[in-house]
Amino acid sequence: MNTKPVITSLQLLLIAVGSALVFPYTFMPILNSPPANQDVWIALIMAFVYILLLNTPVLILMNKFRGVSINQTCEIITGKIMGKIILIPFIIFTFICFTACMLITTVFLEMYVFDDAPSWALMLFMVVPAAYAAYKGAGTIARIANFIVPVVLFSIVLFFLFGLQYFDTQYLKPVLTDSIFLELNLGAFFTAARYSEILIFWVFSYYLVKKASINKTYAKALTTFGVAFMLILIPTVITLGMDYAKLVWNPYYAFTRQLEAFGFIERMQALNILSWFPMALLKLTIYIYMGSEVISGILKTKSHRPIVFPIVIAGYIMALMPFMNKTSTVDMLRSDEVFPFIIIPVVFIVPVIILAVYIIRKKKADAALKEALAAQPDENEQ
Amino acid sequence: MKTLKKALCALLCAAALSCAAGCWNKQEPQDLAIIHSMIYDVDEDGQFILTVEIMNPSDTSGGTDGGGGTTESLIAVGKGESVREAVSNVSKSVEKFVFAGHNKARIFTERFAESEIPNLLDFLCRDHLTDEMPIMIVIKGKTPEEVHFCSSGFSDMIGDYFKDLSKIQREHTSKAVFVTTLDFIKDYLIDGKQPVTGVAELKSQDTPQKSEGQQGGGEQQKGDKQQGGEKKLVLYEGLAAFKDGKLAGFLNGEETRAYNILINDLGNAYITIPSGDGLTVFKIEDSRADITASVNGGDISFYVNIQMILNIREESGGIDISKDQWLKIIEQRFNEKMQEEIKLAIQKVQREFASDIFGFGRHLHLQLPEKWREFKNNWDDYFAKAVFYVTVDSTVNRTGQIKGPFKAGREQ
Repeated sequence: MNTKPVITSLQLLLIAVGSALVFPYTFMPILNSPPANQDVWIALIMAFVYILLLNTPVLILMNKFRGVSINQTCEIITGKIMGKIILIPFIIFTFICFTACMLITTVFLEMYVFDDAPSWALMLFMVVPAAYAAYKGAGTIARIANFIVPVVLFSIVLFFLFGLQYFDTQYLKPVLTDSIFLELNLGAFFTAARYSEILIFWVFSYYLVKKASINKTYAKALTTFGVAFMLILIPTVITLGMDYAKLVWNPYYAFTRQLEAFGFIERMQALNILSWFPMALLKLTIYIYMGSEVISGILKTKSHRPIVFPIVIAGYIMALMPFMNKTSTVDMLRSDEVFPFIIIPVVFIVPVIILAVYIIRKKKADAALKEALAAQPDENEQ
Repeated sequence: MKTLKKALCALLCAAALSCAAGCWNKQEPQDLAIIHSMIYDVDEDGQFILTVEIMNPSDTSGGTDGGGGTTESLIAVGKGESVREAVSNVSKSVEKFVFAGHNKARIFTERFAESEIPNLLDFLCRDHLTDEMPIMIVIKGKTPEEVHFCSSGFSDMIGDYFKDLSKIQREHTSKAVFVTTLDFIKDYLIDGKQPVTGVAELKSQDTPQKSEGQQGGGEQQKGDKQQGGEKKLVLYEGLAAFKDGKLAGFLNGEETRAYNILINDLGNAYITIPSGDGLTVFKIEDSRADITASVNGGDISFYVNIQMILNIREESGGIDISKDQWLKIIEQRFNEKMQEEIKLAIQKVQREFASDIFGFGRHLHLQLPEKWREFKNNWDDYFAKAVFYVTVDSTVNRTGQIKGPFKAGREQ
């Protein structure tokens, strides 16, 4: 019997945190977002207010429609046809993110570690395990996150401790004198607009063990992400200085490259790569899975599995296109010009529309939800 | 099915081992020419000359007989239109893969430091096998490549010599700076401070047949390597000041000590002042410089107040330093000497270099950020005209293991 997998609150938290940390760990876009100066950490704190605001519609929908999938939620609220159409931006989003993430990871690997390795080979090494894990499903992804993300969090704490001797807090001064309120808000907004992990919650919360609270898991995930992000951002700035940190492609890697301890612990950037790379693979896996799961829900296939490989092959080919596989493309992708505008419609605008329709058609939707829940096999209680 | 899964798992594990080979990438360590130090030079025609000191791994193992092997490092030279090309051209005479990941020191000739360091930093920051940890040093003199053939203390290679010096010299004297490439980059990029590097100089010295080791002035010799005749020593003292990435001039040891005091990075320092018919030697235990910026119209002033904790290490002038009134007098003399030393160092940098290597601009930025916006674009010009008020306030805390003057013991 093909039973629905069950994931724990901790596993969901780790999936979300691991996925969210890949970009700060890789290229820390916040450094180049306004105000792009020593007040960047204040912009990060402010970003969490925006994250909460942007994620509220999905959080409401998730809580209200607990127990049904993202596809069912959309169909219950907007009807069978509209429920499919409204999820198309979501599918485009997962595909773009999968391709872009693979591209960025490849470019960083080529720039920092394997400068001679061909892109196609690096990507192949990435997509094969990612596709396999996505093929195995939500339970497997959750278990992988259980292994990978704690290592990443441990590495962040370890780098912080080893970095203490290099810290110069003067680089965080003067505080709030070189930035204006609008710049701080803009930086906070762009940072928040990159946080798309609420969609992970939306897809994966369907498998969340019944007794776990979505809101509590979300709050814990956001807090863990915030603390880890701070532990990445502050040491980088106060070790490299803001100007140099802004200049390099991978500031956190450059920070870890400086670390030495006790006269014999050197080359700690190797640990950075060892933690970061599996985390990047996990992020790819999550995107592949989310895309295939939603498409499977639209096409009403028995499982997401037949959809995995077409997504992977299409993303692989797309990333290898000559116009895509260029540093300038990656620079554009990592800037504030692209990702926030891909994420905002899917994370905020579409859910707001769905929520508005739900409010209008509340009675009908509630009745359909009741019906759908009644038809659900009660596997979460196993 | 289970057997197939196990076989697949074993195959994957075996495949993973292929990534574990080599040192950092596919290159095996024995195929690497590991560079320990590099001298960057540029000739009159604009050709870049790179002299690299390469570790000879077969000589550093020490063998199995317990005896330490003597390292004869390999020196290779590359020339090219750019630094990168010069690096590549090192391969003309080296049959291994040139690897700079373990480089300890980046040494620049004066000619190179006068204009080329920002271009070099661009290359270094882009390259994935170089890093920001090597010390940056400007070498004085017309034949800098001789540094690789000089006596380098107890170290086998000049790269190790500078690296080890950076760990130990601050414990004895603060007359030099040890600046990593990252430090230089940060100072170069930040507003309100200009970068500096360390300075090395080759000094000829006729030595007797068998060296006795340490000589006056801290000059190191290596008797068993080069005996008799003229040999050159590598002296590390002072600093090289830069302005917008270009060499602006040098500070001597005392001026560099003042620099270290002003940037609050003083290691150990011994100061000698005349006292009675002898000398008093102080050790600065702790030093803290508080800098206050003040702007009045277009006039910029800095009030530098330095608090120091001292130990007396020698008192040969017959003064009874166990008495407070005498201590006050010698503290006053010390304060005057240090005030003068620091003022002169600031004046020299203002007048000769017009480059704010002390980071006074940073203090102005932190303390008066609104005013800083007016000055930041031409800060070095304003720095050259700024007025400095220096005060030193010292306290002697300890006077060593004897109470009164040593000579007084004989008189009693």
